[in-house]
Amino acid sequence: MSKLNIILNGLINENPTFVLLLGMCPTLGTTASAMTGMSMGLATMCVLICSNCAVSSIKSIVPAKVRIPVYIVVIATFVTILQLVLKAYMPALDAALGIFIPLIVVNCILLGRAEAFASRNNVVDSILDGLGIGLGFSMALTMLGGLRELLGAGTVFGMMVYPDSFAPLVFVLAPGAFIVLGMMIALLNRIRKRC
Amino acid sequence: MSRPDSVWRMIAVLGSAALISGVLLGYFHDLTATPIAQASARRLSESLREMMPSFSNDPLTDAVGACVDGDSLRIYPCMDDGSLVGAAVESISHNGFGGDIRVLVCFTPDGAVAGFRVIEHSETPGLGAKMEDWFSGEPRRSAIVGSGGGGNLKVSADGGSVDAITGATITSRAFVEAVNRACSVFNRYRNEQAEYYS
Repeated sequence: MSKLNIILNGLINENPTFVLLLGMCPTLGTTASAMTGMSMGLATMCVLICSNCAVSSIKSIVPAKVRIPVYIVVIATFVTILQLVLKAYMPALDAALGIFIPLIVVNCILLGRAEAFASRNNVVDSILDGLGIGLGFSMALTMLGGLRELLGAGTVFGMMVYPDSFAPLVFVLAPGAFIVLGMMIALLNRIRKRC
Repeated sequence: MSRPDSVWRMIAVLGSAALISGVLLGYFHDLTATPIAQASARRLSESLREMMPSFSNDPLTDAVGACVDGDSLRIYPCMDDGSLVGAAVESISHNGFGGDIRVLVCFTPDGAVAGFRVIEHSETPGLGAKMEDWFSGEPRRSAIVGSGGGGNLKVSADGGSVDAITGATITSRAFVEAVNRACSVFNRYRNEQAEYYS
């Protein structure tokens, strides 16, 4: 697989949200607006790149029987570092994402990529895979957040498109997340079948 | 890895992974401790500026501590021209659904609640997490704001006057508890001040 293909793979063919359907909890929980969705995607991408890199570089010394606990320690360490840095330098973002930052630890995209890709490939490819999957996740969350914000509040990234008195609030609430996600998966599946 | 993994090898690898992680976390904790403290101080003084009438002192340096049931709460007095224009108490309840809830409660000089803001919590998103918006909405707000320093507010489920959040009674109780503790601390502070100046 060429380097570019690894990145494109994460963006399209194995898009974690629309194709693999991994990490649904933050996908549904943080996409009430485009801004929070994108921040969550980028935060996850940072951790994913670091954890893929670390897992790939220690893969030959970790015994198979304890690999999962070791991966979880690696992922939890990076997530905690990210949380400390956000608290220190971007307190507003930390407050907006709240509990979903520590919950990145249990996001199955991270453990999934560590197990399925980083533990079988070299460091450079693993970093690229983290970048691709991370970008795919960020893109999906931004689209989902943008669409929910547009339908439910009449704004995109906080800019008004139409007055919010016409906007059905349900799209910003939890049921709207399921509805919009289902619609988007259906739409993308149709486009992918055509190609 | 042709030979079977020995127990010692597993212990060594997992142990060193944990050790390295611990060292890294300690280092980053040290590195970010000061900026985190500064960020929270900045947020606190911004909240005070928004909720209080104009004051000329720095409430953060003039803060005093007060003990209540084993916790030390901070009182931030706001002064203008040497007289008290209001004070805020950073109160805490340990009985939240997801841990501690920190609430900043503002008082007028005569001991009535002037406003409140949730500073820190780990309540359930969508339920307890919306407590600040919920209690800031009417008629909950008027049940809290202006209430005297008695500090015996109760949620409706306990026969009180403050409507609890549906599905998050524990959070609501903890929030009200934090407000009550702030009231009792501020009352004591006010009495001490009155004795001192008389």
